[in-house]
This record gives sequence, structure tokens and C-alpha cells, in this order.
Amino acid sequence: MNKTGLGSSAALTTSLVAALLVHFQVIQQVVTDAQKELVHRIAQFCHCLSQGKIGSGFDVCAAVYGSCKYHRFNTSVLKSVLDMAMQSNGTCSNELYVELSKTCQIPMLLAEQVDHSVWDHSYKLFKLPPGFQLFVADVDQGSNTPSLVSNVLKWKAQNGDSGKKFLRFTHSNSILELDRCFEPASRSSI
Amino acid sequence: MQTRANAPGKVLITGGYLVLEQQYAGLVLSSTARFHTSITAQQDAPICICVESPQYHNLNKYEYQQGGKLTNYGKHLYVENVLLFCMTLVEQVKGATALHAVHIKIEADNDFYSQRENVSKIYICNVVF
Repeated sequence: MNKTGLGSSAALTTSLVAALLVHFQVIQQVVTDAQKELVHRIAQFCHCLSQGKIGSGFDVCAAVYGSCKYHRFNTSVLKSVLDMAMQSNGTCSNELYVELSKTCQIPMLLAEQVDHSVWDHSYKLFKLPPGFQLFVADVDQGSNTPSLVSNVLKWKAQNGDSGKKFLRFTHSNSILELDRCFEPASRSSI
Repeated sequence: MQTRANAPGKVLITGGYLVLEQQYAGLVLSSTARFHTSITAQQDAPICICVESPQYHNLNKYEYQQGGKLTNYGKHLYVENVLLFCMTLVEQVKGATALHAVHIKIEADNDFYSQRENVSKIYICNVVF
């Protein structure tokens, strides 16, 4: 059965991480911001490990935080712990857990402190303006995202984006965003 | 004692390819479609983890062994990596006595999977007005 490309793996990962951490009382049922960020970082790690690569993470962020304007975290955040985890097969040695705990700042988050310097993703909560509704067409197949992405990255490497297409896209994207669509108090580094 | 959590899917409406680089933003909407996980505590002595996917008529059994090991690992990595690392986290943070066997049920809202085939069977044409 074909998927519709709505990010089932990120949604699955996030709901399972949240359920386990609540069930075993690592976090509360009504999560604090720090506990939510713990779910987010563990879910990003597990999802990247299962995919075998570090993606931008917008799907996991949306699964945890909802609709938002998203800037990805630095790839270097997860590189070391993922390299270690990819070697282990079905085991999490003490050494690997120590690395995961350090990378995700587990003790700090459990002590209700959120450090944004290492995990430097940002999300600005967003809502569609009144009268807008999202419809998605079911075309009974997904797109081969990895090959599409590698083609674009290859073009960018060869071309150097001298036509400044990416900058033009960014500018056009920002025109679409209306100020009132963003919630005032949400965290943003923008 | 049952625990339930659910999380939405996504649609990226601006920032495709751009969002791979930190300097550029992507605008992502979370979907009404959600994945649902329910966890029920069990009485079994070894820490058995039973994962049921009723929509796939699937039931997989694992055992979490203290010190961070998951048996039967390898066929469903998205589920198994979460089980392995979260159970290890629980053991490390709360102690081994906090662990117990569980039955986990995972269900997804219909919109994650193409319904075109089902729709064709019900309607004359594939476009529903």
C-alpha cells in the first residue's frame, strides 16, 4: 500500500517516544517545554538513525511542535552519536548512552533547562490565516525524495548557485508569510 | 494502566530543498492525520515488549534486556530504535526497577496511506466533489 508522503515515520517515531517516556514516568503527561524538547531530540536521533542519515528534521519538529517556520539544527550536533550508534546493532552500550545523554543534554532537560546553543534549530509557531484550508491530493505514490535532493545538491555544487536562485526563493517565501499567522510568544532566532 | 500519545504528520509548503541548509527556513504545516501509540503495562517477568500494528495484522515480540539490549532487532528499525533507546534511557534515568513488560499498539489515521484503490471501489470516478 502506497503512502501519501505526510511523514508517517516521523509521526510514528514521535508518538512512540512520547508514549514510552510518559508511560515510564520520565516525563509528565502534560509536558513542560523542556520535556517536549527532550521528546524532540530523542525522536530526531532515533529517526535519523533509522533513516541512516541526518535529514533537515522539519518532519520531526512538526510532529512535536506543530505548524511552524523552521530552521534546521546544525548537522554536526548528531554526527558523533549517530556514527557510534550505526556501529551498534540492537544494543545501546553504556558508552553510547553517555554520548546520547551528552548530545541531547538529557540531564539538563530533566532539570528543566533548555540550552539553545548546541541544538540550534528554531521554530516559530504558525497558523494558516482565517478562511484558508489545506487540501492535499492523493496521487497514490510518493516522490523519490533522496534522489531529488541529491540532484539538487549536485546542481548547486556544480553551479555554485551563481544565479542566486536560492536567495530568490527565500525572498518569495518570506513574502507569503503574513505577520499575523505567527504566534507572538513562540521561540525564534529569526 | 494505559498510556496514549499521538503525533501529526506534515506538509512542507515553502522551503523545499532550502530547508536542508540552516540559513533558510521552511514553512511546515502539521496535518490533521495523526499516528497513535497506546501502551499497556503487562505482568510478564522478562521485559517483553509486544508491538501490535492492527492495520497491518502484525504482532512483533521483543525483549529488553538490562544494560541496553533489544532482542529480535533488525526488521522494523523505526519502531525498534525507539524501543531500544527509550528503554535504555528509562533504565538509566529511573533505574532497572522502573522497567516492566508492555503491550504497545500503533495505529495510523487513514490519510497516511493512499485510499485511491478503496475510493475506486466505491465511486464511479476517482474525483469526489
